[in-house]
Amino acid sequence: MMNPSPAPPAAAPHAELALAERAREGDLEAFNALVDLHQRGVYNLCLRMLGSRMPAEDATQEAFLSAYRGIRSFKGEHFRGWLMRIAANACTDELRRRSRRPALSLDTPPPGTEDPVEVPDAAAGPEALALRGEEHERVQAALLRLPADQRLAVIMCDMQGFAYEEIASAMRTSIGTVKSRIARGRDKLRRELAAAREHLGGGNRP
Amino acid sequence: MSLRDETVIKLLAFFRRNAHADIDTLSAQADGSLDVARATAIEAHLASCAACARRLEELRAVRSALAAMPAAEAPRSFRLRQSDVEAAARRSADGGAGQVLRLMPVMSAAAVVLFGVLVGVDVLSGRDGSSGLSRTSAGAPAAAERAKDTLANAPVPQTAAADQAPAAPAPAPSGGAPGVEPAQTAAGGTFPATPASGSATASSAEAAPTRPTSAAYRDTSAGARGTDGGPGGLRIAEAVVAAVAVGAGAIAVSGWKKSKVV
Repeated sequence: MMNPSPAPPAAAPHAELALAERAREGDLEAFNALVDLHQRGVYNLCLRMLGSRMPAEDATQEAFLSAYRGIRSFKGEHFRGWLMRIAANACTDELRRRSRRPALSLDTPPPGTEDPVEVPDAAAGPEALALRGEEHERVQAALLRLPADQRLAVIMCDMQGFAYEEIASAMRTSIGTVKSRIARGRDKLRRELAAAREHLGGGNRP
Repeated sequence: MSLRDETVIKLLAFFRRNAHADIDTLSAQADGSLDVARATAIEAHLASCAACARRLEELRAVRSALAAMPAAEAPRSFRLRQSDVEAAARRSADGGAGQVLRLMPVMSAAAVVLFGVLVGVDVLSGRDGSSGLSRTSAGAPAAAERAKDTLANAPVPQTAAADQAPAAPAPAPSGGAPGVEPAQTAAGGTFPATPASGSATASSAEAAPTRPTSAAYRDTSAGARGTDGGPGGLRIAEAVVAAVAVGAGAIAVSGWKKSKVV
């Protein structure tokens, strides 16, 4: 199965730890090497958690700033998981900021200011592209309706390919809880997507 | 017969007896994380249960749909510049106000806890003859309204409850905030009637109010020992305020805890 946000080209864990160690001593260049490795993953996590680009970009920036400033709290477990947890918190902060300003609410982006998250796929024809785009929008919308903890667990597991252990360490909870969050999240998505398919299933689909 | 075979047989029997597989099992089967014994058992169940088979199929479809979501490229480099870091440091340094704001719930919770403890200690060490009403308000605020009526006739049941209280001070914190609401209304409190603590199960949120609550309980036992029917008016006010304080602390702490996902 294809994995759309693959882990960074396996920077050996000890290389990462060495960079983190140097960053901890205030070496910004070492930290930026970690940024290079992880910015795509962090940005995509924020994008899927928040559902649109500008907030995801802000949250990503905030996440790296917080990570650098809080690097002393990194105790040498999974760096990627540690970073993702900070990113998830940055997303929560962003969500809270936005819920204070209803005009920028997640569900109804003001027309023209936010484009739905879609990534061009050169290999597909225009029609297939449009259909696929609709499906992606449905999935993204359904994701946004999940409770934040389930959303995070599902995104990390099924979109970013994290192992249960890493998710548990990032969410500071047990593997059992992670599995259960994932199960409930998937089940809710299943119901929503099945309902949508039934609703659209009037024969206008290939 | 090996242990594993036995497990399989037990699980098979389980799935035959039970109409459907639970979502955790199906979800784990969908991503292949079930161990062999359980996977075998669930396969056997699926062979005879179309509903579960369909649900599993749909769960797999969800996984594929999620995996097929395209990953975006980072829209720009997020490398930090020295100036970003310094700006952020300045923001949080002279944004001391922001820091204070963020710590506000913690500080108010701490103040409230301290106040509750002080009131408890005051009552404990001080005068005896707390009235039955004071006991109820502190120990079981939810019952305060009801107790006012009961009290006129028979304060006895509350005394019994109070006797048990010091041994088991646990029940109050968990029911803390929701229970406190009537007391808030009684005191004319303006605290938002957030059902926060009810839903927030953060353990530390509940840990905080424990002390004043048990202090309040000690108060109740002191009251129970005292002769009945003291002046009570001041004591009632203190107890109600303490109960409100505990509730407010619980709400503040849980509101603060809840603000983080993970």
